[in-house]
Amino acid sequence: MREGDLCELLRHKLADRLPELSSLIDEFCAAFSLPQVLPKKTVLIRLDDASMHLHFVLQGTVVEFGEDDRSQMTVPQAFGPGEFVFNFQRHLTHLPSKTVYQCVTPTRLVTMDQDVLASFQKKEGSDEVFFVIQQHLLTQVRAHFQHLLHLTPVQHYIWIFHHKPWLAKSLTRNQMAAFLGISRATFFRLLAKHAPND
Amino acid sequence: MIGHITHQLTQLYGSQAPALKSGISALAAQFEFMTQISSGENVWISGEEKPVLFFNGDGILAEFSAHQGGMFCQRIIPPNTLFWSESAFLLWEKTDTVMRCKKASKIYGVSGRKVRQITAKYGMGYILANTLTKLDMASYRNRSKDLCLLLPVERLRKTIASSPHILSSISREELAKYLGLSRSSLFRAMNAMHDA
Repeated sequence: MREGDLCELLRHKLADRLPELSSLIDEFCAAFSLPQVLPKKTVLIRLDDASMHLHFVLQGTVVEFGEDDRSQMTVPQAFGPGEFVFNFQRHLTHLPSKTVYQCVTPTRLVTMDQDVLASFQKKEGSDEVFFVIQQHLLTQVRAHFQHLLHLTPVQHYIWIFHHKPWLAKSLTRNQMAAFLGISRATFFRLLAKHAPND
Repeated sequence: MIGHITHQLTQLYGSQAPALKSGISALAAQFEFMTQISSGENVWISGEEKPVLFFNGDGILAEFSAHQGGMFCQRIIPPNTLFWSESAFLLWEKTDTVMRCKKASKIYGVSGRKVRQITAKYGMGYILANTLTKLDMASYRNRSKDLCLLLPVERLRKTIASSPHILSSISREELAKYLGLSRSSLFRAMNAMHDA
């Protein structure tokens, strides 16, 4: 994944609106930082964070961690190369984040500062460009929901193992159990019964 | 009908609605009667070009996604509400679900092309598309959280509270899949809810 892929994605999605939006797309892409490599455990979004920086992952894994009512770890979403990391709680409800977004591997990403994003969003036509980012976010969230709905935890784990090996390698077993929506004990029982190569 | 549509569009435009009142009225006026649909018939099936913003009359619809031969109910559309295929209307691809009528209804709609024309003419930008996308994301994140964290009886209770029509609209097997449960787990949850 290269930083240029972000621009290609926007141009592809907005092909029928080119060349009108061409300069806006260039401006949007240029507003991202140069790629930076963040060490493992770097926190991108803290608990109660109201920031709205937009991150695009080039390499590595970022995981959203939360806690349920019984103080058990939850993993609502995981983000890999080619995916956007955004403060979903703030974006969708205007409330500060109830979760933490953390790099679980060394992560290479580009970031658009929230102030730059806010000023970009005031420009005419920018909401059309931002809609493409939203499409991407929706696709990520929808895919995870459908996996939870369609697949048993074992099938889901095997699917991750084959289709997102970077995620299977990045998460600890506790984190993977939370991502699959099962207890740690259940996950260990499943692992003993069904190796992913079966 | 047009009153319901105007009301829903106004809610979607939120604080910007007063400034966009004439555009909202023009958009609501573009909705046309499309079909009278009976229980068991489909508004769309997978693989269709349906970039349409629909309005459901007084019936009930259910959206299903297919996986390995099974059909999974993922959304219930209550009476008098707007609905859309995310895949076709928001993601600009072909439909990837089935929208099935569960209780007879009249279906109205406006094409995505007309929505674009009206919103461009009245300077409404992409507010509607961005708002619908946010609504869908919020809904999926909440449903994912429920599937991961809630016990079967809690999932059932929450679902009935938010969609009171659901028990009379879809079969028990469809409800079990909607909740991510086996049929036996659903029946145990129903018994536990009755006993509580």
